[in-house]
Amino acid sequence: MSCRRAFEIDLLAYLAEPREAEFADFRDHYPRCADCSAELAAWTELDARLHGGGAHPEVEEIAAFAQAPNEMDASARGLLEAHVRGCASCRDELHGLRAFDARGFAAAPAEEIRPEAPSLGVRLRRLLWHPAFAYGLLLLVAAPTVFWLLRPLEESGSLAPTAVFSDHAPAEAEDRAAAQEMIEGKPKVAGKAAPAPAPATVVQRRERADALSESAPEAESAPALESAARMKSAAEPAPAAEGPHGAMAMRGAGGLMAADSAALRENLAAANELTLTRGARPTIGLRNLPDAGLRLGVPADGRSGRLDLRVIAPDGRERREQPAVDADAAWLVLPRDWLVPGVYRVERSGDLPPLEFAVR
Amino acid sequence: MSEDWGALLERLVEGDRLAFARFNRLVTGFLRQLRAYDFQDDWDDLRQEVIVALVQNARAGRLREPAALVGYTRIMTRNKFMDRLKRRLRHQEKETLPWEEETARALPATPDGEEAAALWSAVADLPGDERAIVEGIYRQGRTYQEMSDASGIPLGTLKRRLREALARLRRRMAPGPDPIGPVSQTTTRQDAS
Repeated sequence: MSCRRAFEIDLLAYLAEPREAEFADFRDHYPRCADCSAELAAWTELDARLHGGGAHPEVEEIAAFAQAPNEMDASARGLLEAHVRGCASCRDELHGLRAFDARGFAAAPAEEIRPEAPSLGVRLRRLLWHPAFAYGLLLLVAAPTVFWLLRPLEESGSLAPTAVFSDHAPAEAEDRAAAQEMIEGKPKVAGKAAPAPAPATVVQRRERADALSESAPEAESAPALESAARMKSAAEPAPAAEGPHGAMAMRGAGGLMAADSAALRENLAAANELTLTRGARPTIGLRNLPDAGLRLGVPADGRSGRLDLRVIAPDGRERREQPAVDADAAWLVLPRDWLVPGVYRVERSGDLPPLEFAVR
Repeated sequence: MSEDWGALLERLVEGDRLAFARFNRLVTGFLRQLRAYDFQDDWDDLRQEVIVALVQNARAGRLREPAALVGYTRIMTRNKFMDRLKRRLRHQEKETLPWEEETARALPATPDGEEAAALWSAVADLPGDERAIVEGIYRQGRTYQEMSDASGIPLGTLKRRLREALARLRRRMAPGPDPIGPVSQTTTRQDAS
């Protein structure tokens, strides 16, 4: 039986004012209804073709209005303002133009993001049939147990092993491309060199492996960081003369930064709090964050009052906040559902150098 | 006028504002086709995701076919919008929405000049009052009330005639099941005829 709701409403009025309250039920209905979707799609297409390209201001016009409205001809500006007031899509377009920042594009890393990601089943199959997965699983199971047995009692509460060994849960649907990249970015074959930079999770596993090896016999210097198999074989040698608490440089890991394990432990101690420091890129696990999100501490470097902060996500989204400075730091909260895996850039007001942190 | 999307993408990667404005318009156009603005006014997050993904993939050398660029952008915009729509409607992520299927047909980013010309040629063949209403609404940009005031046709009658006119145009452009439907059910108290 075909649905007639698209015929029961004033469809012309809906095309003109779809956000009216009287159409709330229809808005909720038509995307789920084949008949109403077909009817509305046909009317939408016809409406768009009749309007043609003249329904909205030219791109150059709206770009000029976004950048320098006072330099426009007064009458042209008035017409454009009137149009924008009544057109949701042009308002949205204008908003995007006003927020455009060329530097953001310059900072975007060259990561691959594909529009169509394979299904969860395909990804899981790839993961399960991967040799490195077996070694990773072994490390996942054995390492926390050994770690907690070996660490001093008073420090056992200062680090959440799960924050380091969290598994790669599939990302939400809208970030499945990032999840695919994360999985495919894992070391492909044990023993082979992987392209730099290696994933941050591998950094932390390596650090944990080295920390565990304090009582193991010394061996040669750690090889290049490539795969779980290598991590397993390299887990035995302890970093010479440093033990698990000193700084450990990651060799052969491409763009990975040297990580201070003590700073890492401190940053991971509070699963919902992260303090940024210059020259370091602390990492936090997304799965361990509460719904309230991540409390991010940004050093003010001597500034007082409020700090103008711009947080740029790996996919280019950004948040601007002006938290008050307290004890030479400003704190802001990033909601959990705003965060995606990747490297974040935090720009501070004035000429303060930017900072970074990572989420995995 | 067709765009050289490949050259625009190169300029976009360099941070060119006008190139960004063109891609901004492209994505907004797709969002309009998807009727995204039925649900909310602000899709800046989605648009940023799409455009930044374009830049990143261009830098990574993944977008070597300028001819496929528009289709690539459309697919990405559509997928991201549908994910958000499903969450909004609390729909199962893996199940396809009927609206998703309807919008899967490839539509041009902007109406094709030839198609628009053919459509307006069909408008010229409409009965006099219907033609005047269509031209008033779509060419002159009048609202229904303005058109009703200018023509003296009651608002309800005007809308009914417009709907009949559009149904004729639909039949003319894409023959199929009678698209008029129970137009008589949409008459209002203002319909004096």
